[in-house]
Amino acid sequence: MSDKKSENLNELEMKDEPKAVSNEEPKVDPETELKEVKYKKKHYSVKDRLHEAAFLSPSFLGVLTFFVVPFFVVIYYANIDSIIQKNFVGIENFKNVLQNSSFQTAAKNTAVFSATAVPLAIVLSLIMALILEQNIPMKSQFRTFFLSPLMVPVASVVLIWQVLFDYHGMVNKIINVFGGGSIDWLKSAYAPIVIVILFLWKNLGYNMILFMAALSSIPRDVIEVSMLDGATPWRQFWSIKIRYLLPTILFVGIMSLINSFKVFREVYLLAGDYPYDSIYTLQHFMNNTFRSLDYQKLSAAAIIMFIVITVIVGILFFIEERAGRDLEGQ
Amino acid sequence: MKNTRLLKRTICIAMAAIMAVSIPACGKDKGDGTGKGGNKTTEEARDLIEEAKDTSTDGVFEAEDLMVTGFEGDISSLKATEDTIYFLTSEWIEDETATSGDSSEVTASDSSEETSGPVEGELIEGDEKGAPSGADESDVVDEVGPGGEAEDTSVDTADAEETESAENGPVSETGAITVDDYSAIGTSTNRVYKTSIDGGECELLAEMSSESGKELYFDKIVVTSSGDIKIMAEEYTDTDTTYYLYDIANGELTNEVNLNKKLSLNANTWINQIFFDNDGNLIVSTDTSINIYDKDYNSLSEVSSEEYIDACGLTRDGNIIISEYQWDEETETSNTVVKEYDVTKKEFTNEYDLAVSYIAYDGLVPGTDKYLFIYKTSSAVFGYNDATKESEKIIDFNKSDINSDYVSGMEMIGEDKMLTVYWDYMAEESSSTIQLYTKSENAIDKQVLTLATLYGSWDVKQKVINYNKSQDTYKINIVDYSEQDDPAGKLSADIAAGNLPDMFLVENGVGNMSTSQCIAKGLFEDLTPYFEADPDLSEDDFIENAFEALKDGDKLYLVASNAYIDTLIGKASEIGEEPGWTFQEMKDYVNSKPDDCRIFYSTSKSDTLSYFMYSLIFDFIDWDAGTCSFDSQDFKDVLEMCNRGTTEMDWENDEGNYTEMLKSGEMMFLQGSFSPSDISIYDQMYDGDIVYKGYPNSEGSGNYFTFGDGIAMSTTCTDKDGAWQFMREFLTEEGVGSSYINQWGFPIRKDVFEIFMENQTITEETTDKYGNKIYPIEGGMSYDGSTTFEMKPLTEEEVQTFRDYVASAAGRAEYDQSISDIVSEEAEAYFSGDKTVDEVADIIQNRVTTYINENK
Repeated sequence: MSDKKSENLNELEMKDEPKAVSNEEPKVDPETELKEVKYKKKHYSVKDRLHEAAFLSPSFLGVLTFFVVPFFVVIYYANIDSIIQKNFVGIENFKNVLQNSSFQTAAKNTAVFSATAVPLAIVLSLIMALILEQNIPMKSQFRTFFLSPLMVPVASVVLIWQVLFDYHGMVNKIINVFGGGSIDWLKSAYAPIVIVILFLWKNLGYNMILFMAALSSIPRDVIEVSMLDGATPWRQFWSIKIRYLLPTILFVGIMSLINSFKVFREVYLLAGDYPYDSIYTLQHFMNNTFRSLDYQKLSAAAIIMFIVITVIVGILFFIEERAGRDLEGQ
Repeated sequence: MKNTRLLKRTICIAMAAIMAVSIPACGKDKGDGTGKGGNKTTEEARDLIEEAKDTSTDGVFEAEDLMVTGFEGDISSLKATEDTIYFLTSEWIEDETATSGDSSEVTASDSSEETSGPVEGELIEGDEKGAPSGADESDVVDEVGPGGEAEDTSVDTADAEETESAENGPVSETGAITVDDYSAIGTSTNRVYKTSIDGGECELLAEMSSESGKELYFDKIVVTSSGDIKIMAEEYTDTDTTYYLYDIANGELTNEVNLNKKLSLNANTWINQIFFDNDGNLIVSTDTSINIYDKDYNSLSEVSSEEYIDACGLTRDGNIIISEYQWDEETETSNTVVKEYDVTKKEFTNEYDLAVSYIAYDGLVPGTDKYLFIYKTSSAVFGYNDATKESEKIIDFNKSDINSDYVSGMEMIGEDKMLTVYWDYMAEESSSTIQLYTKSENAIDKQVLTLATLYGSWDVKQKVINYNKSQDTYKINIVDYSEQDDPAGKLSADIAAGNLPDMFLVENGVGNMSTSQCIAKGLFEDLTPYFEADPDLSEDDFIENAFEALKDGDKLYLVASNAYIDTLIGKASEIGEEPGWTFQEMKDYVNSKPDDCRIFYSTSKSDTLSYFMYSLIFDFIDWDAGTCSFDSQDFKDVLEMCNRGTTEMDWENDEGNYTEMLKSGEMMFLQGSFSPSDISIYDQMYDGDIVYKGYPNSEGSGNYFTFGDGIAMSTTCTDKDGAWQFMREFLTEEGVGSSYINQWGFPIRKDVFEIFMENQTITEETTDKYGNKIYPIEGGMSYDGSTTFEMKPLTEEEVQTFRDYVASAAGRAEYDQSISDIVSEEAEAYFSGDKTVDEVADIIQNRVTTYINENK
């Protein structure tokens, strides 16, 4: 019985291997295969289920405690008037938050930042990956160089940025050398630019590595065939590479989007609770309302943010699915 | 299959979104009072509110005066051995026939330490640095104010005859007299007694008098390991302090040892503890070092501490321990660490992180069997259990209805008994007793209500104790957050967790929130229905503008019995006699002065700006409309006004004498609040050319009320009627009348206010209609050590001045830390010349707008 089972398993494994490896069609009796599958399903006894549950329970409890329960607590807070009186007010908090001009400013800034920083993070890291894919000197050193910001603690990053963009910082000194006036980078309309640069500096390396991995997994034969067909590098890029890179682009997009929401940490360390309004983000709003015990505002804002993120991520998944189908169709 | 895939994708999206949403509330960790590693104590884990609501006997002790007879003077310190109590008394006998300059004269410093109780009567609030600002460097030479509010804080006692004599003596052109004229004449006598551990008749061991030649201040009893008694005395001069140690033999002090010489102490060393260890070595603790000497005063060991040493003592095993206050700049939290010193290794070996903010200098004593050491804080006595590595509360002063501000010294007799010196400042005849605390056997059978306070308030504490003792239905337990490493953060965290007390003492708001924010968030119960239903209360009973300031619109959220008013004082001939002015008027006046003329005492631009913060919040923010106008010309005027002086105040080297500066016109204003007894002083200071102008304000009224004992009821209060029964004590004539003499400021009830004003004019000691002993204003006030101003009963004109001052005030002073921080931070760029006033004003407007909008 055991031998038969291992035989069948071997056959199944063989099936998954590329056809090129074996010239012969594997001889599998469809009926036997079906039986084997049925046999495996039957093998899950109650005891096995309990074992599974026991192994899963720590993770399940963790997720329940740290994500699911707080999520429902947030929904509860979003529907009461204050954490002290706890009167049910329905959607009143959502109305208040949506009408709150600080929330509007924060939402606008966050949206503008994400809409600017995420595409830039994708495009620039892709360009860097494409450059490093070429046979250029010091390729490895460049790769390490671009990854180094990931290893620097946030506090140090902020320190460097303060040295650079302070009113008496290095950037202003350089501008002064060329006859320009000092700019208050973090307390003026220029502040978002500084934050976008900081975000890119911090994230480009990681994205670049993802793209380099994706580029290396593009089948060489497809590229070679296109070359034989006379496709220019430009045509190769748009017609082949981009299509194979699409899932990675979407993944990088989602990760960058989530990271863009986390840029608050750097902004907070650079400019405090109440920064210049151009870099006041949703996270500032939430952090400050938490400190002032306005949990109802915080929760309503968090749920609104949740809905928006869900829609955006849903759209990205939808695009990925469509792109995936397109790729499978190739 | 397709459905499964769809389900997987949906779950995936949901999880990603939840993870993104979980980002909220990753706020700055300012600490929640949970300590920081090391030997943890139960303190950090205890739930303060729940503990206060506990009706068990845990931590509850009963206090009784130990019956000790046959001694004279006030008890200043004690030491107890297994069967004997040794104590030191001091007595001051005025020589009414003597005149100034007698050889028996005792200077101010000689007896300054006699008054360790709560100090009332400070003229002007000091700034954060504790340095002089306005009139806050005042040194009360003798202030015996109406109601005796400062009777025990006065350094010397000057009777009316002396005052008269001084007036006839070397009075300066301005009417000021020199500080020596107020040196009291009399005899200071200290005695050492011993009595049984159970009390009873005591035996006089020695008597020391200031007439005996040296002007000494005796303050410590030292018991050697062999049971001998030594007394430490201090001799002060203007610059030096000399310490002496004496033996007692045949009723006299013998074997004088000059500790400064023997131990090679600096002239400015301050000894905070001196005792013998079990091996007979002498331990001397200064504020920064521990010194160990053998019986012949040869140095055995000396160890310095980087931090300030608060207290020093021995463990149960006889090892030396010290306590240090530690402040964490990064988290802005504090805690206390006790370190154990190993004499052999000459280093600190063990550390105990106690997660309390402070231990008093006499609050560290050897433990009993269970505890390694015992320590006292402002609200409790704890024992450190070395077996569990946790601190355990032994006595809860608040639950035991003991005012810890009146308690000094601590001698444990087992784990269930403690001896202290108790000085009841509130008693009609202030006196000290030895009190014995024994563990209570009776559980609390009253309805317990909690009152949270951030920094404690000795008068509110006493009011609570009086209330608890006056009836059998309710017991108010104070929840004291002052010992947390971040009191405001911990209280805010408790509120956020729904762990609310029944009442709050409102001290510039509650936790991290201003009063207005507390009201807006529904933290405070509207007290209007309770007030209106109370047959003994009516709005007409109160000073109208003060009561209006107490209210928020039509609603009453706070009750308070007294208030004080912040103001600016200047020269009437230069700024006009009417109170109130605009920013432009003030700016014109400031600009008319030479550049080297200071606005306030501190030359720091930032300090100057900080004095305007109340005005800023009143004038430039409209909370109802959710707008601010920090880009207005008025605010720019404020910034421009403040932009004179220096970046930092050089407190150490500044030699400005501000009395002289005021007179010579080198300084423009005094700022702060003042009491009626200050009127004549300021009058002398300004040569009568004085006006209580107030801060600049667009409405022309820049004098604001601050309520010293504001109490609010929580909307979640478990027994609102019960809480109101306590709170009304702050409003009724009986409640206010019984406490107003012990409070800074003035009562806001009209009837009590009238009595209060009457008290300012009396010339003979009397008793008011509420049974309070009232003393006439007399004595002198020195601000800089060179000039003393005479204090005397108010004239009718001065009474009217104070009434006008009260009448000119409007609104409640509010302070908002976030706005203050933004304004101060940005103004620095203007003060340093980096940015123009317009640029800075725009940035402040931008940032404060965000803050205001957020809080709409």
